[in-house]
Amino acid sequence: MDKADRVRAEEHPDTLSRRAFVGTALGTGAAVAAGAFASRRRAGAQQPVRGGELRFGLRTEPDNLDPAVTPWAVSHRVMMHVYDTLVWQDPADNTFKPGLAESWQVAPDGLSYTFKLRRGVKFHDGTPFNAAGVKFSFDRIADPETKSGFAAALLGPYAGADVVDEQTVRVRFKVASAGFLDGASQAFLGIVSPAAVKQQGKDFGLKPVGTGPFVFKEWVRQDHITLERNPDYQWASPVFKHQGPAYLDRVVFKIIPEDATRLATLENAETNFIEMVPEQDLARLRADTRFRLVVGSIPGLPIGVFLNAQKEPTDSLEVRQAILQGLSRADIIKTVYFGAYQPAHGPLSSNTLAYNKKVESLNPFDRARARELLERAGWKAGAGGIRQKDGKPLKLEFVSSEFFKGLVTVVQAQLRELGMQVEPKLLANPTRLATASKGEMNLANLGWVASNPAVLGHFFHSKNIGAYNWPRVKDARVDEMLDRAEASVDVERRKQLYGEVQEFAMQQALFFPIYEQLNFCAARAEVHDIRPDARGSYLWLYDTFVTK
Amino acid sequence: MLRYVRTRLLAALPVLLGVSILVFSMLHLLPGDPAQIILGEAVTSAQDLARLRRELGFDAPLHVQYARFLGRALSGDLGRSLQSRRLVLDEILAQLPSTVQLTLAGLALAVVVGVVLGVAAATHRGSWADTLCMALALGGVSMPAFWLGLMLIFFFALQLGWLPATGQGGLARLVLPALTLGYGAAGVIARLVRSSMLEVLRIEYVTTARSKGLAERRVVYRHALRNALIPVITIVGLQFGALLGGTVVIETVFARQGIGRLLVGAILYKDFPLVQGIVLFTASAYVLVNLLVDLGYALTDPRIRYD
Repeated sequence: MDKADRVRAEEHPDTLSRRAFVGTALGTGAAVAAGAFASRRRAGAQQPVRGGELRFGLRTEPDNLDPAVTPWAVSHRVMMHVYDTLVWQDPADNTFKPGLAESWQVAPDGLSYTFKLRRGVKFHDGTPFNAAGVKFSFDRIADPETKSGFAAALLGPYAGADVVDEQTVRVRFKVASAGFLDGASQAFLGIVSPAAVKQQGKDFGLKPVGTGPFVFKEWVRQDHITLERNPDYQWASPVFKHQGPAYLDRVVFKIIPEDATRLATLENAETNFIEMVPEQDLARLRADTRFRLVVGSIPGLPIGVFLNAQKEPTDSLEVRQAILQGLSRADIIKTVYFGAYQPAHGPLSSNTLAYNKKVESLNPFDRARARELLERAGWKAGAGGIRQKDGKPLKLEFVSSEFFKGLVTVVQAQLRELGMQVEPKLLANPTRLATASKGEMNLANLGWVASNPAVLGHFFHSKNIGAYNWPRVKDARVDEMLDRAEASVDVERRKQLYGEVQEFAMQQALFFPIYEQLNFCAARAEVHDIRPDARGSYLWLYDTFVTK
Repeated sequence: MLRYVRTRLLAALPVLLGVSILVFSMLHLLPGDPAQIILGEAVTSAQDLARLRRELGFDAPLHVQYARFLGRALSGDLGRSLQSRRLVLDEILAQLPSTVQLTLAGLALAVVVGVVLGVAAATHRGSWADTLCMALALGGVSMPAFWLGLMLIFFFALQLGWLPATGQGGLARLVLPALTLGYGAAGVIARLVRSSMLEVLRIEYVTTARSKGLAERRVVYRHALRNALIPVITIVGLQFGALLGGTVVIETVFARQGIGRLLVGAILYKDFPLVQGIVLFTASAYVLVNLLVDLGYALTDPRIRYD
């Protein structure tokens, strides 16, 4: 799970544009709270019509379209229409619905999953889909020759797959894998045509073949990727609104790296849908009836700041609490992000499975209380308005990147008012991540796209000190809760354990949550029914149609 | 002449070798591990990382890695891109036509506009036409291409709707990028043509030509301009390199295919084989163009010979 989600959050950096360095932030998105935001329908629902094309302005380009190989979110945005997955996650309630698997059973010990597969499904090359195809796809990911990074992480402790009969496959794991369905619902674990893989070898990622509603047509590097409707498609998942072939004749993904240009193409109809709309343009698009915003809510770690509990002076609980209670997230969102986001309250976004509402009442914004905490910890007023203790000034090192400069500046100003001196270190991404992982800072910001609450383990399990446990917390009780939750197939039990971890993180003031991530896209008004998936980051185009 | 060309081509070899060593060491000195990027930036197990580094050949000492690269490159094999896993040469060749088209169109525009402005300014020295031409030239020199490109998109693609904002294919999609790219170079050329022209117009043979009763137009374009163009050819050659580099920004703003964009993406990914391939390729092109420029002198000025 780890690299996977993390990498998806990192956008494909093939552009000079500011957003290339968004790092862990806006990269991807998920849409559980789709109800509130997604596809603002104007009065009167439209009847779907067949035909037309979607011209989808992407900011970055996939590296390749082999699900076993690529780690990038942008690749998923294309692959998800070419490959089908065993199951689909319903953004309405986060439950899993049938896909290529009609039904499934999880062994009580969580060590194996048995899938009953749909009949009559064909790959785009005409070969039939069956249990052997599933085994082939997963074995290929596990094969070291494939050099899989992300898909292998989603597959987790895979031990192998058995073809029980033509339509039944059993997937086995070395240890219980509670999160497997989450992985299996992503196109990175999509089922590939064994015949096509054998035929194309290394070039499979350039000419992908799956069972999905769209067939790969052509890819002109640094220009566009075209998919065409699969006329034989009769196996849509019940998460969708219709059955049979997709409505659109084709989908053309145009790669337009520059934000302003991408927006211009939406306005002059060179595209009719674009991703990554800059925050400052949202209000204008929202007010213009020619367009509609499509917003995906992203589960996982909200954008926020970790506090290093092992380095002075943030090793003191009072100092950490003072920081959490002395910072106003409302002001940050308003000043830096044009009020585009909702405030976050804990280490999971409110649309993530196992979100614990109790975190909302912990650490309320209260500057007077923050000052009091600092006084109590012995930090008294000093020269130049910076507090001191034992002759040492209250200094905090904040590791971040150029992209988050605005955020860093406002945090710096707000903490200055409390008598803390923030020293920002804006670093290039690889260096930034390495520095924070080594714990050479007091503060470091991060965000992480994940639909599986197991993501909490990255930040709070002691085995990940030196990796993404940036608060450097070592607590045997928390480790045990995380381990138990990861191995448990009982959803309620997992929710309870992850809920306790969230409370722990906020009571210990290890993370200052700022805002819940959103994926801002915009469509021309004639485009209907584009729905973000459960990760908010990926857009379903199977039900999409174009009027006029 | 042929001997001269041969000598020049041989002299290019150490230049290219130097470039390849420089790029190779720069890439390896910069922080960031391509193996880690491939596996995802999240922390990977040390074993996975070591395995991939071995598979990619990054475990060998630097000079061994360089020798391997050079050996393959000399036999025409630039390797496979780490990210797309395509052949580097295929990647470059796929993007080349777009960059060449844009560079040539930009250069043609720069030369035509630059020479016209420069000559007009020189022949109307001190008049309002001179001031206007030089103001236009100054605009070209000082406006950032990035900003100019977005402004052109705003007016011609959005407000007027005359031209498409992005993409490949057809003259219509080439106009705005070529204008953006060529305008800056046009400014440089215009200023140079003006001063060079003013100098030439003062030389005695021009006076002679005038005293023979030749039409002023003929004096300026047949006699003076040809001599005034020699320094211009030098600068055109240099500008070609600048334009080749300048395409990165244009390709990004106008979402065009091209080598520049490919290179920036490759650098950010630490896609070593791709970066090395592109730089080597571009350096060769640059060396070649400068040779052509030197040969071009002989064509404009019969006094210059390469024996």
